[in-house]
Amino acid sequence: MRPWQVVTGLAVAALLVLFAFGLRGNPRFIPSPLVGKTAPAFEAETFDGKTIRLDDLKGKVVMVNFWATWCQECRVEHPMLEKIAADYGGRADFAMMGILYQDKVEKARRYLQETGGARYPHLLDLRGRIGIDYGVYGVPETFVIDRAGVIRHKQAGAVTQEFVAKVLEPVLKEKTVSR
Amino acid sequence: MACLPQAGRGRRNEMRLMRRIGLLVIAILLGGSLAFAATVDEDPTEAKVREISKELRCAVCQNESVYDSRSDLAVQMKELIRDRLKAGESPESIRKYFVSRYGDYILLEPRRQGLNWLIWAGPGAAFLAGSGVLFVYLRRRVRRDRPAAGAPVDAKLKKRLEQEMEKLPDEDVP
Repeated sequence: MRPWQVVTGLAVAALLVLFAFGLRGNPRFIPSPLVGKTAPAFEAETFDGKTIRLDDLKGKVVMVNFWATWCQECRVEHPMLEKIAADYGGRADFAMMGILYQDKVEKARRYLQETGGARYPHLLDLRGRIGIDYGVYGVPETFVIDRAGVIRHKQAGAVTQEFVAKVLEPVLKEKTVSR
Repeated sequence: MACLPQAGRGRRNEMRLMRRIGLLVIAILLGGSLAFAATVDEDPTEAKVREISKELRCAVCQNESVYDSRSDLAVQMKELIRDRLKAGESPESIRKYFVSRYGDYILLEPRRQGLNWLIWAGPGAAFLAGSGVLFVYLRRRVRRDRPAAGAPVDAKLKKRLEQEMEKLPDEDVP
């Protein structure tokens, strides 16, 4: 073999390896710079006019789910969210909430009625500031905030049983404040 | 000479046309300068909002800047930029804020740092390397195909050449 044949062969092999790794996985997955940082504070009204402040929930594990009625995957994950609310909603050290992302409240109310009501509160993000503060790219996105108020995980896409087992459960098990 | 008056009328028409064109040109120039004046008079905050939002990717769109997008989110992002500028924040700090929340992906142009240089310099480097390889290859080929000086000429070829030369008209042969 001539040197140039070796070089070409190696270059083609390198490209194939690059493609094999680069084209695998979810192309929409963008790592969030927020994981490991303090969760951006927010204060917003629920659909029923109550005010919720993230700061008031310090010491609890908080799950924040961004969703919209125009999002199909949100409809898919809805039963799972309801299940999480049913399983963990009773715990004093856990809070979960939905935040309506780029949507109208009337549509959201209708959606919640259709899907059997909501076991947990939903907040309005009227000027989109919470969504921007959390760097939401597309709904559904779910953030898990630990007892110290640090974002531990960002789930892009629907929450799953695996998410509960591998992300939520371990954070809930931590008794001491990590930072 | 019967055609003179007509020519005179033609000239008058021509002059009228020229005057009209002249007026049109002045109007266009004036209009243009007015439009120019409008951009100069733009609120400096708006100019900065435009500058920042042109560099940011609209998170819910496909490859569109926040400035170009009409989505609600882009409108809200522009509002946020405006509010922060009015509160005295610098454009650089606002850009940093967006990167701190969305990551580098929010910037339409990858930053020129670290491994990103591969994206910026890669195509140019590949072009140069390709040109180099092509140059070396072609030069070698030309050298290989050129017969060495003083090499014996094939007898058949020599005969053919002579025949062709004879066919040429005389004056072309010195």
